Amino acid sequence: MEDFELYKRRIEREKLARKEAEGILEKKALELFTANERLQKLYKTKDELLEAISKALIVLFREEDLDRALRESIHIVGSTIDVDRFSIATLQESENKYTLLKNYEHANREFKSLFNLLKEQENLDELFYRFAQIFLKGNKLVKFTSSHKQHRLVTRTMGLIGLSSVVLMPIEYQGKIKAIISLELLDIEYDWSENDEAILLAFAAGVESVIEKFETREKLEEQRSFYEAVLNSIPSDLVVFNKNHTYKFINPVAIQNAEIREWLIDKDDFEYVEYRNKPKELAENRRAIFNKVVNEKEPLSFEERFVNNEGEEEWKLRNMYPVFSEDEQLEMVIGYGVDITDIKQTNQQLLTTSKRLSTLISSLNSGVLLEDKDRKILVTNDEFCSIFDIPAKPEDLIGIDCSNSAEQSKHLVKNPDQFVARIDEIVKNRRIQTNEEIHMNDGRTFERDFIPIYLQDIYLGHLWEYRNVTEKKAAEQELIRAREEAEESRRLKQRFLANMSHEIRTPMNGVVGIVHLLERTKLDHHQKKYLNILKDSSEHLLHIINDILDVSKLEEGKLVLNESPVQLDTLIEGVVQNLKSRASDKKIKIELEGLEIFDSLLMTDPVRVRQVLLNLLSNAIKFTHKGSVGIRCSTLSNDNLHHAFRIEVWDTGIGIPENNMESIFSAFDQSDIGSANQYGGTGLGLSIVQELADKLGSEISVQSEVGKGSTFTLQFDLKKVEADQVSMFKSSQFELSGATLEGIHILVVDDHKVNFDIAEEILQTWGATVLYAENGKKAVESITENEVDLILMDMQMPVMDGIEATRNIRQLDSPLSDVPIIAMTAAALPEEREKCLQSGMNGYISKPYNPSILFETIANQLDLDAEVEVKTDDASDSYTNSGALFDISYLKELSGNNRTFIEEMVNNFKNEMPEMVEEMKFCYTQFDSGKISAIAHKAKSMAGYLGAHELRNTIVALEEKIEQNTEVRLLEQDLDRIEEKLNNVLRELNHLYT
Amino acid sequence: MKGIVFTEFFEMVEQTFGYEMVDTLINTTELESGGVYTSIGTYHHSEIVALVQNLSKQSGMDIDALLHAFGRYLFDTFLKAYPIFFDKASNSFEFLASIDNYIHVEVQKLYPDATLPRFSTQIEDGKMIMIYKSERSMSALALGLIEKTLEYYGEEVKVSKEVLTEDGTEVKFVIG
Repeated sequence: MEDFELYKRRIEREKLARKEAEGILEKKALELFTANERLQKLYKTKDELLEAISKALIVLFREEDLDRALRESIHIVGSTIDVDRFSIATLQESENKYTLLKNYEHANREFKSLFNLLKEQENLDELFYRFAQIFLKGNKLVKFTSSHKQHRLVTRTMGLIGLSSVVLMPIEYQGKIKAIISLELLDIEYDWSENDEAILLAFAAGVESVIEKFETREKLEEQRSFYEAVLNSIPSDLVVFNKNHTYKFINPVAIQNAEIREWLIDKDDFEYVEYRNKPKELAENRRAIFNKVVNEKEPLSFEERFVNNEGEEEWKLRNMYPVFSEDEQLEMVIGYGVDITDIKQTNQQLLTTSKRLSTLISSLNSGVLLEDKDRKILVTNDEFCSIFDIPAKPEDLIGIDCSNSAEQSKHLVKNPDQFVARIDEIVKNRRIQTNEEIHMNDGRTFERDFIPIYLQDIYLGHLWEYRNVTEKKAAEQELIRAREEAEESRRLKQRFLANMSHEIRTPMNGVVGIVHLLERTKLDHHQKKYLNILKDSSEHLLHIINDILDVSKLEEGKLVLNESPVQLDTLIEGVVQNLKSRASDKKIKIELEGLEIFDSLLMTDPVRVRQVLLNLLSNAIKFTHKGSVGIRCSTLSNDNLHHAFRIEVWDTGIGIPENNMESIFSAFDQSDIGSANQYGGTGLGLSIVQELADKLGSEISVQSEVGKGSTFTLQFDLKKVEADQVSMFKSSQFELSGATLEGIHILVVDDHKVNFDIAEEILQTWGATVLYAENGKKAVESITENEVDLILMDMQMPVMDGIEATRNIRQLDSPLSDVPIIAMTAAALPEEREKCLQSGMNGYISKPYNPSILFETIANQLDLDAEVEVKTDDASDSYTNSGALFDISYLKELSGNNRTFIEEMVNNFKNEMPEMVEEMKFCYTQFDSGKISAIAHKAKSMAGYLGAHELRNTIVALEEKIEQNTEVRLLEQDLDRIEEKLNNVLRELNHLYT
Repeated sequence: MKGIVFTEFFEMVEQTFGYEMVDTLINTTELESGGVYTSIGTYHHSEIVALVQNLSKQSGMDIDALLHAFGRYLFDTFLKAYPIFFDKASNSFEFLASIDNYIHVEVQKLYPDATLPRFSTQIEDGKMIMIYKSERSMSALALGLIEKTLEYYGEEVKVSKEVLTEDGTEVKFVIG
């Protein structure tokens, strides 16, 4: 059982650890997802923006109509970038005054234009003039945000519209502002990177150039130089290629050095890389892309890596745009590049996060798979690959689509279709699933967890974990089996002990009884000596058996206390009295101190207190060779309700070595092996004492010194009993006037000892000699060996029942065969009675029986005078109750109101009935209706003695059902009902004293 | 301290003494984590110290002997989890030198909050002088790891240990 508790703790810890691990994984996965999302968004934004701006530039360069060029390019960019309105206002300047010519806008949301609103509030011309002043100072871009108030009017107007950000970019030519590009955002503040701004500025430059193109339409000859001026002002890489991939134009951002720029015109990248001593692959790669772009007539973007002069890594995202004439002839290719080092850094972060996660995962010992929301693999580990037999490295699986992976792995599992369907279901539901068992064809068992990962309700992806639990499951099974076996063997042990006790106690009673009988006969000196040895030995044996029984009861928790008011001083005196002869045999004095402290009756179980004290005192005597032993009582506290006191049992014996002090209370332990040989005993005594003391609510402790002696101390705190609460039994003699069975030998045959005890008690008062046989076979043997005048025969018995025994007896030689047999049975059915008489019995008494009827029936059979009268005492008794649950008037009548007898019967009932009910329940689990019936039979008579009619009726109902061959499984209700009734009776019995 | 150290520690204790000992340690050591560890978690290093001390008390074994055994045990775990570090070096000196220069640099990158012991190395007369420095004074564990490293590379080389500071935070190993 200890193993099982340990295992439970272990499982609990593992569960907690797993939960923690899942939490960590979830957190790390979330980091990875976030980094991944950010990267993808960055890529998308850059890519789309670059494409849109390139397209817009082409429109601007090629469109012949300025109006259309601006409208279209604004639309292209505006529909790509993430702003609420993107617009251009063209301005006209004269005499330091700016007037609005036209406003081109692309609005993703409907709201009032900033310029219009400004115009309503202030002279817009004046405002434009002020902007122009700012721009002409060299500011390429002015940002207004609601949190940074640069211009009171603008910020106030922004507030009216609800704008969060406004970005203004000037289009300037020859010292005049020609137009203003504006970006307006309603809800969020503008927070793009420098790169984004550069891209937009490039667009602004494009617009600038086109405006100039139209302004200088007449001066076409100046156009080329104008283009150059414009393109040179673009703050990003911009080149234009001829049809044959030679350079037509290079802006200063692309190549700083003007000489090299000049040199490169009409040369290609191969010449360039040779000249600049750069790797040839760079030129080859660019050539391949150029060819692709030209052939496919589609723009293409690609990444290039450089190391700058500081040795730092830089990344460029480049676009090549083919420009075709109307008759689809290639005119030129525009090359455009933006810095994506920030993207690469984010990517690096992603890699680190991913690596960190994979390192974690690899130390997990379980297969882990992290997928994004589209079921693409983000991270997995070796263990996962090995579970599903995937012939690849985990890092090579990143990005692979998993939607079909279950299908591919299903041949490895026991229920392939269910496996696939379940995975689809789990992914669809997006709810956490844990500890689902997966059985593989190769015998392995996995536990699977599914953890969906959300960021503020947005589903990002999920995590699978597969744990190999093959060994754990096997161990679990093994442990469960072991536990079942242990429980079974414990049950068997209990049953064996219970059986043994009855089996051994019965013959032992015989031995002890005969010894007592022998004592009364004339014996010579030797015989007397032998008889004494025989007496001692048998008593000792009985004692050992009782010890074993107590231990088994204590272990089972079945030992129930029977509390009653106790005069402890009397009890202790009794204990001392009991052991006096043993002590005087060893010439040891027993000293008694402090008995006067017990000033009132105390509630406790006298039988068990006596047992504890007897055990301790007899131990004390056993281990003391000279000197004295004693019991010392002292009060700790004493008030109206409670009496707390100490009882010390001391000796001047051999003492207990210090290293044995802890173990002396363990079962099967004597303070050393030698002592078992020297002093005898089962080694159970102190273990029982401790358990009993515990049950009694007492604490036991020991002090000892080797060679000086030991003192065992018990501490009690007991409830007092008021004198008027105590109803004492008045002992009275059972009288049946004129009744006598003097000299008559009666054999009582009953497998239930209690029945015999009762019969014996009654019969002995009439002077009969009573013999006992526990079954029919023993009865037959008994009458051949003993003088028997009459047999009281139970019907249902193991080995040989009453009917068969009667038949056997009737077949013996006369006079043995003529012995009168009276049936005694709890079976109240008339046909049963008929059966008895048919088998050759002479009479019939149903149990429970009235003594006068018993006497009458016996007297009848033996031709004695049967004129009797039963007299009982009207003694008050504490068992008086409503009679609904039980009624002991019958017991009183039976025993002549003998208190000891009634107490014994009640105690028997309290001890044995629960055991019988337990046993019936056990038999129920074994489907053994025969056994249930046999026990029910005994239980029925026991309930009858106590007048527990309701209980008895439920037992009879059970018996009847079995009689009618009712299926065993239908008996459960009856057993429950019996248990319930029994508990009611037991409660009432215990209640009577408290 | 990384959770894997704890899970491996308990693994070793279980293999050596049985799970009962693990149970006893968890039940009788005051641990902030409550004795629940996952290999991927991070826990306060005082917990491993408390556990080792308690194990010493329970088993009657010397703390250094336990740490030494644990170091030897941990080597196999490291080898299994990070084979790449061992593949990169062709002999034990190369490997031992790479701990400070390479392995711990990589570990620190992955776990910026990790507190790692320092192992400065130099070679004199064909012998490696390795100086262990750590506030945690666990040089016995390091010794176990060093020994197993030598065994891994199949080198029959002696290791001697000299404690440089009284509290064991600086220890000199001479290997060769």
